[in-house]
This record gives sequence, structure tokens and C-alpha cells, in this order.
Amino acid sequence: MIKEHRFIANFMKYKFLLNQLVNRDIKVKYRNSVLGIFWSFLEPLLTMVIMTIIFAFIFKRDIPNFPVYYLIGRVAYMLFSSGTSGAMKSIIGNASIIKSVYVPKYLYAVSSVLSAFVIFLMSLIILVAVMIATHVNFTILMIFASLPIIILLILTVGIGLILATATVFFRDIEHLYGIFTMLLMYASALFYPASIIPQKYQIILTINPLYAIIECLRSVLLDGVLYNPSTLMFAAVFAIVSLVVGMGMFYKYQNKFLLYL
Amino acid sequence: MKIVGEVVINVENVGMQYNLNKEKVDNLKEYVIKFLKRELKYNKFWAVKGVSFQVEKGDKFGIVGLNGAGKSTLLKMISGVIKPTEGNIEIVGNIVPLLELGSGFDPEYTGRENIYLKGSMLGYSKEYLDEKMEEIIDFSEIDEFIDIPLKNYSTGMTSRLAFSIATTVRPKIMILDEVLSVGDAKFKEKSEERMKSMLDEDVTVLYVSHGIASVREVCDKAIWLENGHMVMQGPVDDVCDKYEEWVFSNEKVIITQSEPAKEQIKVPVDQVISISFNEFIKEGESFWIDLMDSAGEKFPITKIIKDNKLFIKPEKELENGTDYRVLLHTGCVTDLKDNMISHYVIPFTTITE
Repeated sequence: MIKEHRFIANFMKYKFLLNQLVNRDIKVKYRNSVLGIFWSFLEPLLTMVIMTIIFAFIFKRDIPNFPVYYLIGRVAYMLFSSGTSGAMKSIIGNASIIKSVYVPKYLYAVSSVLSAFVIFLMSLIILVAVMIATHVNFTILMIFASLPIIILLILTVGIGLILATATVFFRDIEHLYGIFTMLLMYASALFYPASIIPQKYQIILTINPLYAIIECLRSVLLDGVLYNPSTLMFAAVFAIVSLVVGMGMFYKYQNKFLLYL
Repeated sequence: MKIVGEVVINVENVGMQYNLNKEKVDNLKEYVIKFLKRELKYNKFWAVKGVSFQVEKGDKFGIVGLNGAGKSTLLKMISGVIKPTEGNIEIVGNIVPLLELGSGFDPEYTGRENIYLKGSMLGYSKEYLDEKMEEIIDFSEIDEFIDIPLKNYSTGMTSRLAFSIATTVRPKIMILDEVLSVGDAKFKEKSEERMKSMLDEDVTVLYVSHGIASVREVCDKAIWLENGHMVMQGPVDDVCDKYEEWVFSNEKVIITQSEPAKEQIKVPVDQVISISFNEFIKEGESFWIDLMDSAGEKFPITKIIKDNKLFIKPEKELENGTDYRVLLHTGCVTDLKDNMISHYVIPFTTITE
């Protein structure tokens, strides 16, 4: 069995590889585009403009500071969806190297999540810029935004590991998951107020950990009030359970990957 | 200097069991249906079973056996790519497998970036790779193209780069599948020289080859695997002698051709086929050989050279009264353009005894 010290020694040995894999994901994504990495700023900004025009002016939803409202939801959703789908494809995508050189396989999945996280951190810069532009009151409470972000990262790694493992055995999941993330986007109240959902369907938002995280972020960043600790707690428990399940599944089945790649 | 007795690879009673689905079920719908109907059947078989041996520092260790004897499974377990079902493998030092050299490259990445990427996969640090960077680029002769994306490289350039990375970072333990040489004639010579110099050093080598002659040349110790079990281990010549004796135990010489054949030759089934080839293979030339059935499909064979004769042993029994062809190509693989490859076709027909 793997002892802890060996695990850490291994991690130190492959730290540079992790760095390389994260770098590659980001570099290759923006290679050959004139604006390069600036797209990670531009993309959320432009979508925000479009969504603001559609939902704040055309449909006239009554959301105060729609641009920030939308942007918070979007950056969180993008971290989750691009991180998990990246992790999902990471084992299959690196099949040829997995077959020939031993590298701890979880690095491929984790690096995909981390590269999504780097992009997320950059889009936070745009979020802050838009918050300044729309005169949001900056308060000390905003440091509490770090907790839901950490929970979101844990959740993404956990779900990513589950998907990475399952997809090796059942390739259908790749196609299914695209539909699921779209569903998740609509079920996370990114561009509409949560209140428009009828009372009997509110359960969809209540059980959605991603929405819980977005709600927490919105209350500290936009409303300037501390979130309900129980909402955060629910997301945290969900995230930790998925991480434990994900690690367990990955660890249990990783030795069989090779037979299915 | 070789330190006698320092064990760097300790393989202890290792076994690998494959659970192969009778049919490949890789989508959820099929899986659920088969699961509900309880139709998920597995073929369990041991690819390797009860193998134990030790490799000491500086050993050149050969593994011989027919196709499917478990050689690659064993190598994969030692390199850590797959985990044995039972038993234990202990490794002291870093292992660099020189198999599938080009894997791990990213076509969108430049040559230089790929050196970092592949190097990091082999477990090297940035500092170490920085230090070796110039040497890797120099040896690969990529020079001014090192900063353009790999997708614009020729096949030769890619394999030169791959070879250069794998051999410039000096591993403690190397896993080799045939002695490598890549590139055009000039680079081939250079790469062979480097392989030889690496083999002369204190590096520990695990070597698998179909050519018994090259195992004898490269290795000093060997094990012989058959059906996943270890038949014998010891000094390379002892093991190879016994192995060859066993392979040829049911040999009746079938074809003795000094020239490429013009007419059909009758061959009984399940025989080792021997071909004298000294007339058309020059010293030091590489060659490869295929047995084709009448439909033009490759038939799995084991090939051995002994005393200027080439022996091929079909892995399955040949069919009676069927036409087969032996295709022999000689020359340098990468010299396709220079018309340096010669092709020989030897047709024959199997007969009932």
C-alpha cells in the first residue's frame, strides 16, 4: 500500500510535471490567437455585456447590478464546468503517455482542474474591475469570498476525479456530461433571480451545491452581507464527500485504466 | 565501477491477471443491459505468474520468450505502468523506459517546450533539464527549428528529438525494446554509437528483443519466459542456448533458399520455417520479416537468426493446403527515399503430411 511519505515524495518529484501540464493546457488553449491570454479577460467581459443587454434591458429583470450578479455566477460556473470536463477527458487524452511512462495518473486530472482555476483567477480581475466600475462597496467581509472559492475548487477536483474514472470505462459519459453542464447552468440561476423559480421547484436550487457557492459569493461580494453559514456548510460537505468518493474511486480503479485505454 | 550485489530491481513472486471481457463493453447502455441479464462474462488469465528475479546494479538483463509469453507485461509492471495483481516489485533509482519514444509530445508545442514536457514526465526537474537543454538540442541536430511547433517537424526530426531526450538524461535503469537507432543513415550511426556507449556504462539495462543474437550481444544475464512462467534464469548464453534448443526442438527444415524463390514450396503445417539468407542480407543491415496468409493478413510469428539462417515459427498452426508468403525486407527503415530497401517474396503452400 502507498505510504504517506512516498506519496509526498512522489508529489515533490512530479511537481514540475504538474506545472508543465497546467502550463500546457493554458498555452495550447490560447496559442495562435492574436490576443492570447487576454481572451480569459475578454471572454467573460463580452458575455457579460451580451447577457446584460439581453436580460437587464430587453427582458427587464429586476436585478440590481446585473453585470456583477451575472459575472459572479459565470466565473464560478465556468471553473466548475471547464475544470470537471477537462479532468473527465484527461485520462483518455493522455492515453499514449499513460501506456508508456509511469506518472501518478491523478496528476493529469488535477492539472486540468488547476488550469481551469488559473483562468478563473484571471477572470476574477475582470470581476473586480467591473465591481469598481459599477461602484460596488468594497467591505472587509469580502475576504470571506475565499471560503466558497476553496470549496468550489475541492468540489471541482472531486467531481473531476469521479468523471475521469468513470469515463475511462464508459465513454458515453463524455457526451452525456455536455448536456448535464448545460442543465446545471440553467439550474444555477446565473442570469435570473432565484425568486422567479416557483416555490415547489426551489428544491432544485437548494440541493445544487454550485448554486449554494454562487449564492455565498454574491452575498459577500455584491450585497456586502455575510452568507448564511448553513448554505456554505452544505456546499462544503457536498464538496468533501465528492472529493473522498472521487479519490476512492480513482485510487481503486486506476490500475485498470490501462486495459480500457 | 560495478558494485557487486547491489540489487536495483527486486521482483518477488509477481503475477498479473487480466480480466478480459469476452466482448468489449464500453458504453453504459450495453453494460446495464448485460449486467441485468447477467451476461457480463470475463476471461480470466494470468499473463505473468510467480515470477521472481533480482537485477543488480550494472547488469544487462535480457528477457527472452515467444510472443505472448508475458515479456511486455513484465516490462510494464517493472516500469510501473501497470500494477501487478500479486507480488512485489522494488526499484532503486529512476527508470526510463525507451519504449514508444514519441509518446507524450504535444504537437502544438515547440521542440524546446516538448523537451520540458517529456523531461518532466520522465521525472526530471526544471534545473536538470535546463542544464541538459543544449546537449539535447545539439545531439538531435534540430538547431534552428527548436522553437517552432512540433507539428511542423518531419517524422525523422521528431524521432531524433525523442531519442535525444531519452538518452541525454542518463537514467540509472533503462528499459529497452530492441536496440534503438533512428533517423537517416548518418544519424542512425550516431544514435547506435550512443546506445553502445550507454550500454558500456554502469547503467542497468532491461532488454527485450526477438533477436536472440542481439540479446547475447547486449546482455550478460537473462530470463526465459514461457506462458507467463519463468522457465529459467542465469547467464545469458546458458539461457539462450536452452531457449533456442527448445524453439527448434520440433524443427524440420522446410525452406532452404539462397535466392528469392520463383516457384511454390510445399510446407507441412506447424513447422519452424528456416530460410538461408546470407546471400541477400549484408552484414549489419537491418531487416524485418512478415508471414502473410493468402488474404494478405499478417500471420504472427517468432523469428530467430542462427548460423546465417533465419527461422520463423508461426504462433498458430498454419492451415492445410493454403498459400502463404514470406516477405523479407532489408535495408535501413528510414532510408525509404534512397531506394535502399530490398524486398523479397518467398511464396509457399502448406501440405498435409
